Amino acid sequence: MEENIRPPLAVRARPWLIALPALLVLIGILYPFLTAIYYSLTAYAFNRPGSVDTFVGLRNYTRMFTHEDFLYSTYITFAYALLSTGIQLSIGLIVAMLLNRDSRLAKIFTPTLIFPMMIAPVIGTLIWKMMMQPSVGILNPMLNAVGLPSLQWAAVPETALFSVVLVDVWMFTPFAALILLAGLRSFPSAPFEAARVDGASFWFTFRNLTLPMLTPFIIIVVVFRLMDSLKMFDIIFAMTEGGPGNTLMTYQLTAYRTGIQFQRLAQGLPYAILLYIIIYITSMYLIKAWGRAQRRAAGY
Amino acid sequence: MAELRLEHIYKTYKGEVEAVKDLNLTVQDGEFLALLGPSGCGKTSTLRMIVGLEDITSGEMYIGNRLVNRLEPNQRNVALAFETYALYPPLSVFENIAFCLRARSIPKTEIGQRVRRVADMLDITDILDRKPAELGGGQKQRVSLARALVRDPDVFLMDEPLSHLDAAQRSHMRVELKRLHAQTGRTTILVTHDQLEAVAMAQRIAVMNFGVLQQVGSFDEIYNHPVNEFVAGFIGEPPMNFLPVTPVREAEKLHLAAVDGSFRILLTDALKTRVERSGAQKIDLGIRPIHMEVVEDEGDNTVDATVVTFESLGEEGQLAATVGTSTVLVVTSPWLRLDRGDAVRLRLRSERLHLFDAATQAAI
Repeated sequence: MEENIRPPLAVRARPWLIALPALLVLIGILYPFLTAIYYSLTAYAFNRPGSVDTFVGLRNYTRMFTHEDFLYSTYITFAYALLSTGIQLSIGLIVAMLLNRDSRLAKIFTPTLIFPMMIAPVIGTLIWKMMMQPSVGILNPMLNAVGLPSLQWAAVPETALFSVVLVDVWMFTPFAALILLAGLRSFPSAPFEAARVDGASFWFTFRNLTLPMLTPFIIIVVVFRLMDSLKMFDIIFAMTEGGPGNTLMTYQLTAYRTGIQFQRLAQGLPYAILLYIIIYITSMYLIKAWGRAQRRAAGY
Repeated sequence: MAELRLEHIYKTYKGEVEAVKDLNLTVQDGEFLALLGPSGCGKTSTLRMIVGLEDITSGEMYIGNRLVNRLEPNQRNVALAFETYALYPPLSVFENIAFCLRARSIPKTEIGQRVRRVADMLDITDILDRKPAELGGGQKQRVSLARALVRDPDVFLMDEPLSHLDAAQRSHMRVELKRLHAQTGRTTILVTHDQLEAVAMAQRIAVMNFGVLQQVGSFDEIYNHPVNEFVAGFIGEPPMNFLPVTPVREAEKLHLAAVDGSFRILLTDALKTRVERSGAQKIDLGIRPIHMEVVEDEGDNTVDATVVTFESLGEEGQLAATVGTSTVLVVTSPWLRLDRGDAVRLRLRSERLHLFDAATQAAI
């Protein structure tokens, strides 16, 4: 009798099926993450069998913080992220404002914004690398044509950061522009007409009305671009592999070089975990700010 | 403060849509004028041209004798209270009202004084710190009016200012707006599709339809002497009844006979000469529902009708009845007992007849 009133298998399995995606996420994300934390506390190196069982506590972390290149690495990570995000935001805002009008030119240009994003970052970077080649690349002749001196681009420390940021800006400014354009297009027209009647200049309207209403969209751009550029790998690696010297050795590049190329996984992992913590804290803060900005833009 | 003068104003949109055609209108200094018409009649286009949000296709517009065709909105010194209020969402009520003063770099202390004065006038001093989304419809309305009033505009325009308010707020704001006008003495233009608003607030009413100005005048003028069938039918609630008739001459007397042969009424001498002078062969006889009554006895100016519906609305009754092939609406006493199909006799008040040439729709 007992068996007869048991619900069918499909019903009994339902809670498990519903939880399955979460379970997969748990396995797919949390397991490697926790493993990484565990490995970072060992002496794990690929070329030393058995080293994974040697527990060394926080030694890898102390080594990272006291490393002579650590401060420079921090500087270059943040310089790259802040520069590229900042420039993308500024140019993206200008482009979005220019495209936010009902003209034929705007209709033609808006879809072309997608082009740089359709190219794989590595391929795009390799093409830039060829264009930047000091002796045969096309960029130097172009500079010379307008009376500027040739540059050594990514080949020398002075302009290496500039070169990779330039590629990042080229590649992702359209993303910023599209998000901001979507924001501008979503605005009701009446308040802006009211501002015209009220006699507000372009700058006054921009500061007092456009910018506060656009802030949620600006934060979205910053969240995406800052997270992405803090952990940027493709562009820097394809361009110089972190060089010349250690000029472009960000956390991400250092983690890769130490952990994979030099096979000392446990020593590379602290950089990745530190990066994770930085990105986590920054994005949490930004998402909170986004909620506030959205309420403000909506008029609460 | 200034006079507003529109001369032969046209507005043509892309795709050859003529929104406003040959509009001539003068709003006197300090006058309260209502621009009244159904949706799509060109009243909002007119308003937007006055403010400067819309280009004038042709014609000339003067504010205080200054040609403003080519001037930007901010150079015209006109203020507009938008239909949707158009408050600045990220700014507080105070900042919303102060916006135009700050844009003109007026000193801070003066801004504070002026905002508080106008907030006082509109009774919104207690919500100056709030944000637009936290306000109710009536409050938003007041803020938008305050924003328009704070800057001493030459011409003050309101686009359907009461359309998003509930009935109680609406009648309250009607009184408020009238008081504001009396208090400030500004040239004011109210755009509305609601004749009640226009009648209640404005000194003169301009009726528009299909982009053409039909008639401008006081309520008395447009109600009692409409220039055409549109104005006659648009002003007045319930609307005027129209019956198609033809003039019939019989022994020096002029009668109007229904086209369907259902009735015949005798015209007064005054109307007779007007009909004769016009030479119209087909006439639309207009009579307002309140100018007809249900009578027992046969007499002049009576028509036979059949009841379609009768509703008692408490203070009055509304009777829909067929006269020949037409249906008319009559406002009656609420105490009548009438059923569908009953025969009734209706008397038309002869001094209240309106005659229109059926061919041109113009008043005779």
